[in-house]
Amino acid sequence: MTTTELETPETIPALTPPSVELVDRALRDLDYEDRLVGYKMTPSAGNDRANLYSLPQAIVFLLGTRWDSPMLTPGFKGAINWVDLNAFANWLRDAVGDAPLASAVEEHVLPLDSYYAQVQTLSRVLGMRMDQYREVRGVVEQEADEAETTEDAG
Amino acid sequence: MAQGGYVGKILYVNLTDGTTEIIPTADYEQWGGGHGIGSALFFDRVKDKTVDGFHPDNLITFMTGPMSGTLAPSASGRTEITGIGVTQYPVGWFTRSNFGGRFAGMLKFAGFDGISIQGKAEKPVWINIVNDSVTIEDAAGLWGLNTHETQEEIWDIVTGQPDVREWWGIGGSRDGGRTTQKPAVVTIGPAGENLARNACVLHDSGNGGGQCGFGAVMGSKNLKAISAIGTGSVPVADPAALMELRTEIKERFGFNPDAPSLETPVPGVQLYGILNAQPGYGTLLWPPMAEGAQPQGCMGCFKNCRMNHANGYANGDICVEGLYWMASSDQNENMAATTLLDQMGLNVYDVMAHSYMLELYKQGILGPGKEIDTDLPFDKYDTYEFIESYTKAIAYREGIGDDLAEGITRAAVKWGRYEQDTATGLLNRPQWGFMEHYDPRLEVEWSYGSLFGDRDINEHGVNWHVHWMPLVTAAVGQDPLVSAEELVNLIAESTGVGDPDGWDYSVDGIYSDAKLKAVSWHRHYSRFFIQSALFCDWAWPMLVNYNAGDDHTGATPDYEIRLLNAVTGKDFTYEQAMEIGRRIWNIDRAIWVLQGRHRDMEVFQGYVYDVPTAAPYFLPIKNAEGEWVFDINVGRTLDRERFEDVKSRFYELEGWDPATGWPTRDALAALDLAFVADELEADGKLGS
Repeated sequence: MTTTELETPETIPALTPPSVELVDRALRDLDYEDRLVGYKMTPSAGNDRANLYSLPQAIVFLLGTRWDSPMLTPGFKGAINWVDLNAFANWLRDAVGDAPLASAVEEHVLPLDSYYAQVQTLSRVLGMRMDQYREVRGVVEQEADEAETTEDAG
Repeated sequence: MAQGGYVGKILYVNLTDGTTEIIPTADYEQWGGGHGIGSALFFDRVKDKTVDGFHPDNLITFMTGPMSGTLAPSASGRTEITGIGVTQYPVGWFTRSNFGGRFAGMLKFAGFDGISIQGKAEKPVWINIVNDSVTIEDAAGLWGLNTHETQEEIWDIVTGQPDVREWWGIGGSRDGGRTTQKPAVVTIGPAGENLARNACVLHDSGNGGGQCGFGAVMGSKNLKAISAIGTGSVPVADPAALMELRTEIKERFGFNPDAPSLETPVPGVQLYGILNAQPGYGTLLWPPMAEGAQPQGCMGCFKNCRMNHANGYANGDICVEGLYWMASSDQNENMAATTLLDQMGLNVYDVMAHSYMLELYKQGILGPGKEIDTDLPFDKYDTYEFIESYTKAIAYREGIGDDLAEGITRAAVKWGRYEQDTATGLLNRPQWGFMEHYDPRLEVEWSYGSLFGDRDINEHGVNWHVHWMPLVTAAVGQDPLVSAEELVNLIAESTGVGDPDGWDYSVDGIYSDAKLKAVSWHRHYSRFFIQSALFCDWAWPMLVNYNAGDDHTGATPDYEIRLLNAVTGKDFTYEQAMEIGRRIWNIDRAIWVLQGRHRDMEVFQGYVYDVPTAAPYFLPIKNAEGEWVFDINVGRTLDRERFEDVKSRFYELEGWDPATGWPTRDALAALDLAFVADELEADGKLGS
């Protein structure tokens, strides 16, 4: 028996923190023309086309519902959810509007050999970026809450 | 007479006048069982074969095989349904479906090798089989219940609700037998009652006979359910040989947890189980649940590929129904959607079209006040509220659900979308209105077989090896377990076709004579072994083995025959069995011709010819240098002209008229089907 050694980058440098505007734009629902097309590959149903209309939807499609549990592992159905990752990087830049994230995918994910290794690393890149999104969103929400509290007090 | 796997009787029920008849199984044993007997019974008893699937004269059968109810591994639990279907478009062909569980075995324990049903009851009824006793019961109290409720109600009626730890008696005498078992029930849900063309039949929690709309056919006959319970047994000619074979197959081809020959190289990759059947393979669709799950399987099977879950959802669902709707980030909701689908009695393959409708919604074509008007909440597509309202709308024919209950293909025709959307592939229905399963431009024994037949063939025996083995290994960064050259040689050898070019999926290979021989083999093998002898498609044929080190020799064809002979006591050869398969395939072909089939109808929808493949699709090809490699086959289409030539050559190979696709007298006579040729000739449809 052989065990696959995943050759993935040890460290991935942090991306420049996104602006509020970038986060809002990146998390919006996209029009039909801007969708990303993926394929869910399952033994029982073959290749089933999947249209992805937002970055969160694409992340769930590619990585499952748990950040620490990417493709093919517990927490995810027995499927290979495939997206052309070159197209994914272009989609991040052109449709989603997060050029730094697109560049990180191109630099750290695309050079890897197997799709499994690519998705494992993609999980780390996207996870890191989503933490940044949440941080920005958190600051905005906190500021809004404080403003509301001040208003109520007044 | 009960002997060699058969219990000796086929039950015939005429629902119109409420009479029953016993047909000796011996009269039809030459067809093997399952589908073969179903086809022969249909041919004999349905005089006008052009009747619609909803017509009372349509005869449906629920047939077992000789190994049903025995310990033959992965060959004991399937039930084959035949009859005219109502889902296919434009014609509801004579067709088939199939489900697992314990119905087949229990029916045989009750003394019947199968049931054939014709006519239409005046009011809703169910058939109650308790050992040899058959009664037609009033179903007024069951009509309207979902599939799970119906079964629970019938269990209570038949058993008298004993404590679950108690034995209970069958019949009035001590010799009537006692059992701890519940009756095995196959039933329809609200979808079947409302004649939804995509209605399935359901047995136990998640065993569905989905394709072709037999749930609606049962509904049209006012037949809510069939229940069987028996305390008999199945006569096995050589029980010791059967047990030895079972052990041998498990040891030689199964996963050995104590000393595995092959394990997944990446922990947790459940898909690897389709190569080595490792423990946990049963979680193919659903991941291990934190609150627990336990293996569950069909009668007599050692693989137990299903699971029952502690959350109570999607129990026993192992196939495509588990993919029904996955838009929620809450797995419990996704699983609940599958349970709802089972309870309503709907065929997932058709009603999965919600994703097609979402595309129309996103394009502004479908929605409130749109060209296709609906108030289904597509703006909440990822919520359970959406999938619940969508599913129930179809089952109860509410709103746009009335269109969708005609099947998505007929709905698209009604909406004026069919031609355009099948031309672009937005609606990927390559033939007869069935959803694309495996790529019709590439994996052509699947698509050719479906088009020359009656439905999506849904036969995975070749597909596991030519497609999934290279795909799964590539996805995890591993070399293929078997080289492309060794693989095609193994398959050529184990099938008996002999020519490895039969599994060349290159641009030229898919049109070759060798490919057509492989397609022909596939049709004949499946018609006998999978659909009549009722070996489980998820286990058989075993063309290649990955669990015995460097020896990749599969169990096929040796073990199928040895199992059959151990149970029946006959002396079948593989070649004889394949000829029975050819015979069944030809009587089916004759029925389709009588229904109106002609060469001109056997064309794929436009996207198959015009829209190139876009995703990697691993298959072996012989390249320009004559070397065998696995290729990803992107950018491929099927060529119209070359496919027309394929049709001519395939018809000739099968002994059919190349101009019409109709069987010839010579070909039929060689299969001892002169009586079939007579009927074709009388109808002016005998090939020349």
